[in-house]
Amino acid sequence: MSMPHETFECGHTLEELSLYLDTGEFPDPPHLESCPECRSGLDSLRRLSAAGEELFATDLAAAGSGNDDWMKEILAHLALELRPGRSIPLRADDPADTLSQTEGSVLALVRSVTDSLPGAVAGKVRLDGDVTVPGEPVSVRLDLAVLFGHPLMPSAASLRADLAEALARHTELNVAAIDITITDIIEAPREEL
Amino acid sequence: MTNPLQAAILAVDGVTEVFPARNLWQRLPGRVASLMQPGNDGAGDAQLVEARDVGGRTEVNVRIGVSPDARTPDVVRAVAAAVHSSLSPAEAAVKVTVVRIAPARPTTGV
Repeated sequence: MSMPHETFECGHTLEELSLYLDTGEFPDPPHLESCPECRSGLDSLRRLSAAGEELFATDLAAAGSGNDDWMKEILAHLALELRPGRSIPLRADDPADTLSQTEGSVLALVRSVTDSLPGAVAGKVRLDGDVTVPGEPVSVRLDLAVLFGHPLMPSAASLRADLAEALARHTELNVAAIDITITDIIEAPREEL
Repeated sequence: MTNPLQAAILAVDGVTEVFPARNLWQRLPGRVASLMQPGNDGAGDAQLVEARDVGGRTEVNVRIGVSPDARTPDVVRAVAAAVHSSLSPAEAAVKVTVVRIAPARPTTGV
């Protein structure tokens, strides 16, 4: 499967991270210790790989019952999200201080919570609204790929509750809505009789 | 080597790691200049906690990772307080940025 070639702000790509997971080779190994975006990318690729193994006992395309377009789309979104993004302010006790979190860290959190839901993989994740202004209403928009056979509505309700809890714990965002769109139903391959 | 400020930050409950204070692209010009010095291989050039004196006040810049089990805003404020406490009685302005919310990394590998 081809990997997106978008270069992160640090100069590396999702393709390089994927190669690192496959072979252990990386052009600048110490960088992986110090770059939070590459670390989040590695986490996401590991979860995607695990989900892929769960979702595909065999390759869907080879089984003739689907294709891997959804996976390509997820990788494309991931490549775009692996950057610091906007700076989200956090309240400081001392007026001289500037406390914040990167948008990328929050998107990675949303993706991590989503990927922990059995039979589901996060697609596009975004924060709509001006996250740089404290108190401004923000909507979390999440596209989801779900394995066929998993109950959609309970999954979405449970995920929305988990995301609300995680965002309340880790941000000071005024989350007005968490919109989950199921964009892909992934059909598991049928066993040959 | 861990400096006292970095040790104070890492001692805050919920902090999983301290990342270089500046992104790679911000560090690159200095890194290139450093590499041009004879005998310098560039190793250890990433300053984790940046502290500089600006008009008699110490400005501190730090980027951290936070545990998913912690409450990020509380951890960030505790880090700022720890820095102020470490530098006391000097006047300080602390910039703390959370760049990662994830479990602490394993002791080996990334």
